[in-house]
Amino acid sequence: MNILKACLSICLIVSLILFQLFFPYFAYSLTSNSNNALTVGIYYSFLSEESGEIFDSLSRMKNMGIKVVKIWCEIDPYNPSSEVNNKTIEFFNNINYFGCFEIALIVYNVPVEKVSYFLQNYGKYVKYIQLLNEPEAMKSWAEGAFLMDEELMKVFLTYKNITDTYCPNAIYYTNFSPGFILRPNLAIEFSKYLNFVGFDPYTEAVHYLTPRYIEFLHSLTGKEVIISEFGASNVDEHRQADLIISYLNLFKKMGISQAWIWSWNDPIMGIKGKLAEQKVAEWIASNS
Amino acid sequence: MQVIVKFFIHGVIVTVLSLSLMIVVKSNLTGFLCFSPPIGTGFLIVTLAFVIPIFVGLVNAITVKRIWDVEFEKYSFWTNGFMLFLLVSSVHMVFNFLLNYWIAVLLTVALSPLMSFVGKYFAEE
Repeated sequence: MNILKACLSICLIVSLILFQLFFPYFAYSLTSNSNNALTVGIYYSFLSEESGEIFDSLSRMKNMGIKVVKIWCEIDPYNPSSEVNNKTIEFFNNINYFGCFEIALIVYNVPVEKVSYFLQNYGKYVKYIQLLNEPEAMKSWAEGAFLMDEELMKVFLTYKNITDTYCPNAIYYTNFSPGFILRPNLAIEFSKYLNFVGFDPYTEAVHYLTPRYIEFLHSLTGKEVIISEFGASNVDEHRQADLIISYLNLFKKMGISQAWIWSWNDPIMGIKGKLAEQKVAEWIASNS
Repeated sequence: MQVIVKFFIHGVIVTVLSLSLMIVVKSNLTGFLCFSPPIGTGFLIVTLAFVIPIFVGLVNAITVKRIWDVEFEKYSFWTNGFMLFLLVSSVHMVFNFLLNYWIAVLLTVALSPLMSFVGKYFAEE
């Protein structure tokens, strides 16, 4: 084999591998799927708000066109008059008042009695339940000490039994980070108990590979894939707004039904009061 | 045998073989990935990057020798097979994005003379 042919074949191999990796992204970017209705949601940490701010935040989310609010399971079962419980009460009073939000609850790293108490009191508001959080990277006792498959399944089923008792009609999902490709068996096993699976793309690098990941996750689980978390750091507001909007455009073109932003008021990833808040509102208004 | 027929027969052999192996791997994806993770993923990568390319490259070399009656390059099974396998799967991926899965398979087979040209060019000594 002469040297020219050898170089040419190696160049072709490398080019074809890159083509296979990035083709779905560019193909979806060039298509126009304007009929798809994408529901936008957001993660909201109401405990870090002052008490009057919860109404203001929810009212701004409503005006933006946010439909799903994702929250942690925050409650104190032992002290009904604690500040945590007061804020949770205030949050759900406001949810009741606005009447236009669906609640997604994250059940992860929380004692079972807390989950039971929360669902007893607020289970009627919860539409989506996220069991665990990016299980492929969940740690047990130290950084890097990942939970084994059996341990994860045990925790998963414990939470599932509790939530089934209080919210029999809830829609279940578990979210996966791009790292799920190292433990794909978890997505396959958990998906047997779920209504859909979530994927959490962050950063610009993952942006280009998102269609590949979503196709792979869908082919493994056979379930609909939604975007359960996505976002960008707000250090550079313009960059954050651009990345979130380009993600939203991509999801819409891919036919994704739900995309939930991380987050509303996180100090690093929050969009509250940032340029992204205005841009997302404009995007929802022009795409609804 | 006419040149166009040779191109077609050679191309169909290489394309159908590559597509069949791709479909077999895809239908056994869960089995691979669930086998003692991440060891199964390792087996999948070895299968996709070495086993299938060497097999496709070998079949391509034998076909080049039989159909075109030219000496084949003895030390490039892997690169030729890998390139052909990637080319066939890439063409199928593009058609599959635009059309139905099985129509994409048929259209890829229809483009088999192209695979034959590439396979012959890189396999002959």
